[in-house]
Amino acid sequence: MSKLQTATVRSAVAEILKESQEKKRNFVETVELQIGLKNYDTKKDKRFSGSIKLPYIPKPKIQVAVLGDAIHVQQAQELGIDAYDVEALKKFNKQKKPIKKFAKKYDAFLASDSVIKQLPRILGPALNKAGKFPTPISHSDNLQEKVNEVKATIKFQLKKVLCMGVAVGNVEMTEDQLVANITLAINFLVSLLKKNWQNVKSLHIKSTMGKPKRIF
Amino acid sequence: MKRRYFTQNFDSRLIFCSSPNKESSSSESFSKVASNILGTCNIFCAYSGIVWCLDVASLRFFQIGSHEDALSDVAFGQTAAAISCSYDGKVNIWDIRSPHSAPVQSLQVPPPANCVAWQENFVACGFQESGGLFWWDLRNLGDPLNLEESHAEAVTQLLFMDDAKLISGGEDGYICSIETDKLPDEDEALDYVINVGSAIYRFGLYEAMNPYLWSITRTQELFCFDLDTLDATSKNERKSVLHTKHKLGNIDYFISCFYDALEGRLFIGGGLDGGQIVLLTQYEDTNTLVPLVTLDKGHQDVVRDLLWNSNNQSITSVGEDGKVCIWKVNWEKATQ
Repeated sequence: MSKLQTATVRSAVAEILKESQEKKRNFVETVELQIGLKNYDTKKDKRFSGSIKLPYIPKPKIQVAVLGDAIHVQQAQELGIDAYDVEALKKFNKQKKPIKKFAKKYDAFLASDSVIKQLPRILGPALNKAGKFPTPISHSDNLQEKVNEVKATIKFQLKKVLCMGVAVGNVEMTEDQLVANITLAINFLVSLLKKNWQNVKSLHIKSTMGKPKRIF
Repeated sequence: MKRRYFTQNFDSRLIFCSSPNKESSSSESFSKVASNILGTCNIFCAYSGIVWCLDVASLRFFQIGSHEDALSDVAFGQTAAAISCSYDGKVNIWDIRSPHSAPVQSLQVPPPANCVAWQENFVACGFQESGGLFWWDLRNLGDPLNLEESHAEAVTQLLFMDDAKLISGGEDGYICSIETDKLPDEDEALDYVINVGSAIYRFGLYEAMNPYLWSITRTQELFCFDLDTLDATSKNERKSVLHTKHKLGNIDYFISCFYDALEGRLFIGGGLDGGQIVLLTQYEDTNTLVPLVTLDKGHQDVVRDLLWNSNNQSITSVGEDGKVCIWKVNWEKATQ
């Protein structure tokens, strides 16, 4: 049973949104969930890491590019998304520096099934090292939906210390959207812990420039 | 659409349940078990750093050596030679016929070492958090080859495939295949990459009609891939268990998988936080899992690994309770 009080989350979110309006910044602040763990041994217990898809896109400004076959390139262009076909990628001639720069330009990539198999041969391991190897898309997938899926997926990773932060939204989202994202993220992450809520020491949410608000 | 249920009568018995050192068993924890090819000896990854082995015939534990920190991976390279790696950064090769002695060979990586694999003359070891991977040729030990290009984050498992391929899985969610005869040019050697999507906990290879790969992510999803086409053939989540006849309800996590060629089936080990193991198989639609056998009253804590011994039809399981359990399973099918 969830130990999270919806009312607490909602009021904390409302406070964050209010404070971000009071002191407006020159950029859209991200809302982050901070998890403090206890009774957890990083060497004994299974590592705590992975990716989860949130209901609402936390960071809408993510730049995505499509590496596709003719059909996907056309669909991407219609949606206003940057797209490259195999010929364009082959033009890099496997040179490391330009490919690295290309990888830096985008936050994530999508690639057609047929193209993804050739990518290591065409581009080498540069996308891997950047942590941006594409997500596969097939012709039966809706391209816009897949792009949104990629944008809504967040990575979390607990390293050697027992606290971790994940981006769950931004201050331009509605209260409902933030509450939905936060609730889903917390419940999912807690379900991955062996002792569930007994492994959680504290939960805070904060906006980039704001003060942390405790919710557990 | 008529449903076909498996009402298999699978008999399972717990034939062995013990810890190697009764005095310190409360603090011990096992994260992995490996076996030599004949199934005569098992080796374990212990939190205490002690390299424990189990002689399967006599069911006796023996210690072959130790590391200064928790073990992270173990494997056999030959029938009587095993390899272990640890958070202490050492990769040690042991002769299991000489217990309590120094390792036959000791290699060093920047700590912590995460995983190791050994086939014939080649050893590969994944270390640290940013995708470090060392490669040694045991016949010509100089500095290791540094293969760090394929992973952005920690490599968590390595496996050799027979035809000179090294498969690596990492926290970045990538499964990469390196053609080892094309080394030292890592760019040329990288053959294919599967982006599973979430940090990989464990993966394995099996041969059904084609070569297949199963992988479990840290977010408790199970994917199977056809290695000829690199397409995902199925995706399962913890909640996709068809538990009509199964009292324990949904599983909490996936443990590991094994393929039994005789049964022609992939068995998936699922666990409950209280220590129960449920062996599952994929239903016809391959996106539903059917429970077949429950192995309970063995472990009291999270089960971390399962090993199938096809020689004597038994399953060895190890877990965070510091116990090794061996279960005898007798498959008898009755489909209606």
